[in-house]
Amino acid sequence: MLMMILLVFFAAAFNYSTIAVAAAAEKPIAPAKSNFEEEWSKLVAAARREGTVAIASGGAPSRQYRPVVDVFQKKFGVTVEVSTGSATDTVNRVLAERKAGKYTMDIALISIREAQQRLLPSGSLVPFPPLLIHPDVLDKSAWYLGRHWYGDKSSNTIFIYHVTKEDKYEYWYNTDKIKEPEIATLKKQTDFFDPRWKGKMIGQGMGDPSGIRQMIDSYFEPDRGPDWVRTYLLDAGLTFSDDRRILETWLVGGRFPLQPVVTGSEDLIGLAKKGLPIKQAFLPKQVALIRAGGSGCCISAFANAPHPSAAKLFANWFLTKEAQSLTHTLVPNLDRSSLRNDVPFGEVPPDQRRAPGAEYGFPDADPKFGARQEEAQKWIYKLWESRQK
Amino acid sequence: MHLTAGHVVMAAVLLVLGYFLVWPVLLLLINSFNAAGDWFVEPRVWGLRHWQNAFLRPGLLKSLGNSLLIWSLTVTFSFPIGVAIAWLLARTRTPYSHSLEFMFWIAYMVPTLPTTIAWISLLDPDLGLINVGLTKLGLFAQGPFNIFSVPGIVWANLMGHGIAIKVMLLTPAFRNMDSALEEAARVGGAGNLRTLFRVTLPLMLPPMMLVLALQLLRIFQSFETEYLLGMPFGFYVYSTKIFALIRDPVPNYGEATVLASMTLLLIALIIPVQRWILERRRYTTVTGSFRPGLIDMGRWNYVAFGAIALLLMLLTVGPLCILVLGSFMTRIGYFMLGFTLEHWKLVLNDPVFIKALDTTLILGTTAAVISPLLFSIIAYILVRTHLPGRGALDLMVWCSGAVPGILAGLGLLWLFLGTPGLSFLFGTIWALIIVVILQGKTTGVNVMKGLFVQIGADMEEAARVSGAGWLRTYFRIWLPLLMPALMLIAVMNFVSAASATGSIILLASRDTMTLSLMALELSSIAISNREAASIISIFIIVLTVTGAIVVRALGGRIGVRARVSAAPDLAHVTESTVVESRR
Repeated sequence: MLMMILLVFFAAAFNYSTIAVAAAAEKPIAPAKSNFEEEWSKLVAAARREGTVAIASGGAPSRQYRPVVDVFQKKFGVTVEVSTGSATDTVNRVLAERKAGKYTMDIALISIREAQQRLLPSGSLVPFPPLLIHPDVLDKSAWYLGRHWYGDKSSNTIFIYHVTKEDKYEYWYNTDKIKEPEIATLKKQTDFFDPRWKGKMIGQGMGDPSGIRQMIDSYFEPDRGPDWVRTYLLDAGLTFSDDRRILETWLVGGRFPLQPVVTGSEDLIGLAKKGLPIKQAFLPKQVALIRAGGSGCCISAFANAPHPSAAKLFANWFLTKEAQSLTHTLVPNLDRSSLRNDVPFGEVPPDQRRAPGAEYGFPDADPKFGARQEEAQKWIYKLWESRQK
Repeated sequence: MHLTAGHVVMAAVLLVLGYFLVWPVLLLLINSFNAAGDWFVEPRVWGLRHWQNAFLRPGLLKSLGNSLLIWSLTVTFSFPIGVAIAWLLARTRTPYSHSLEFMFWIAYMVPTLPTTIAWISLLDPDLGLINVGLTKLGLFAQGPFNIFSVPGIVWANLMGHGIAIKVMLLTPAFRNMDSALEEAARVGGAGNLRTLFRVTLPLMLPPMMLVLALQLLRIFQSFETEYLLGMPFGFYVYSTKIFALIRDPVPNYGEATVLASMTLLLIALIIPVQRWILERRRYTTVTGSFRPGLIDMGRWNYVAFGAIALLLMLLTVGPLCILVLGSFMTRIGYFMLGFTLEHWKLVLNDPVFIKALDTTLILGTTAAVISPLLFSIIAYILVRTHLPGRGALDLMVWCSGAVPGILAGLGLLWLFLGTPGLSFLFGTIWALIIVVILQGKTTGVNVMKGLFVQIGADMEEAARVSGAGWLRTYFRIWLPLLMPALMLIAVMNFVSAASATGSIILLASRDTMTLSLMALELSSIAISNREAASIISIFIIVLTVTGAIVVRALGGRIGVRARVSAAPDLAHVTESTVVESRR
């Protein structure tokens, strides 16, 4: 009951409609074991005959999941071909191929944004639930809040398996240039706009996918919102770069000693641990969230897959406790964790571990959120471009 | 009209090149009238939306002005320096001139990104090693240099390929200067400088014009340095706009094509000017009585050597040090974090690496062998024949260079997917081979054109009189004469094939991954392993340098120059070559 009240509160406090998750919790399905084993061995045999599963992916996850994929290859004798490069290039290529009647991909490990804005409208994806047969995956009690989570409008195509946890705002500063008492004056998000910080802050540009993602998220957050985004981009005197290494050098060297919005801070954490004069700090967040961002969050299946059995085998295996555990143990510095509750956290950093039983706002799983995100994205790009006048 | 074999060859060349060079550009231009927001997803709707929106982009005029500013400043410095160095290397007795020339090739082989990063490490206003050194010495209160500025961008461009490419392209042309002409000037009482300005430079006008025109073509395409150094101080150039449109979450290829098509306007200016210059007088410097004599400047030879060597240190040592040192550093730029072999292990143990190395070698070698031959034939047709359709061929060569690689890649993707006879090549290495062979055509063909203009018709006529057919004349006369330029183009095409990204990214699969695509992936925002990317760049440079050494060695054997010193009369060499070949 308390959970229900909390959720209603979150939904009201939040700009977007958080899903009534508890109400949506579904009963687990338990298929007959003998039927499954027969079906599974037939599937494995068919997948072996096909020999390959082709996965469209991009960015860091296309490399991160290699050790996990290797386990699949050894276990089932099916070769996995994971595309590489940026997700946008992969999607461009796949869409052009499909327009020309060439179907080369089976599975997409692609971000909700790419899948929702491009793969789905082009009719490239098929509903995901019919592919799922493994009892370990179908058992919804093993998943966060007892259900499967999808990131598309009809909640049946883009399956979310990994999320990042955001229960506070992270920022970084140079300890040689900014002393603790000054940092102590930063209590809320608008404090970054105090004139004394003007010319001392850096931010990720909108050419960095994380940069635009940060701003879209900020647009909807009660602590920030559209006005905050406008000030941040146009009036707060930040220096932007799409090159995270340049930003990092400026922060460490103290040229720009404050970075108010940060994503992918594993590198900065590593540098701070090695004694460089930078420090992570946090500001409170009204609503704790989990987010499904980047290519490492979601899995979907292509229509007209050239290797349908291998695709089905991979999709099922990848979501089992075994494979999801491997993502926690074989991928170093994973900045997200599985939505399965029965998977040990392994190498997942402490701040990314969901507290047992805790509930979070989950905007990416809201069927209406995608369209609103697109609107916000356009607005932010216009602002960004207006900087270039 | 009487139909000859030449007409048939011309028709075939126009058809094949038109298909591979112009059709992808036309596909892009036609589709720029497809008003759909996402060409891959939304149904086709014809309209002018992209043309209207593209020109309404905020700050477009300013970015155009910025592009012109950077280009003109870069050319103002790089062109005279490039011409002067090419002259010193080719026309004077500067010691080790061939080695120095080769070092400019190496400077050209170093990718732009490490060069820019190297200069950031040195000239960052607060953290750059030079600035820190000067302030610590008490010479300045704060660092006097700022790489994040317009002069900083111009400097990074000059230290990148700005000077190296001009020296590379102009030196072979200057070597073709007949010393008899310069000697005549001197006999007439002119000094070295007067000879240079009154005789040498006017005769070198065609190659110089071509180099300038090729640079003009790059005005809306070069962006890496401007992007990295300009954004922090809010400085955007035209090419940054094109790049940003393509990198939008939903790539806006329509508006990007519209903006890129502005280069076609430049081409419309370049071609007539180039024709006018070439047709108003003769520029023949290499004839049967060619003598490649050199000017002795006395002790100034050594001064020239010192100055060029110093420049080469700046062009190559900084970036190469950053590359090599960076590959062993835990994190580039952080000496306090120590050194490691982890990045080398990561790259060498990557299952894709060997495959990528293999693919790169195949692409580079094929491009290095086939492209120079192909481009020299096209240039021959353009300069030495009177076949109809030469204007169209020239236009094709120029226009195909109008769109940046990243856009051309989309046109090529459509070409391979949309052509029934070619779609089977899609996803194979053959598609990449075709692309890399043709991608250096604008530079390659024009460099060869410049040389054909310099070489007189007497040797070809002598060969024909001696009974050689066209093929034999080409291989026994032209090829040895053109060898320095062919070597240059072979190396340039090896470099461009080995470092191609934009043009092949949509065509390459996991099986046809190249080293350059691997480096792109490793240095991407998401992975950001610049150290591992440096290692890939080192491999590309080592491959290219090895290839260049082999090419130079082979070229030296085949080229005519080795024999010129023994038999200074080229007509004699020509005749004996033909007679020898007939035996």
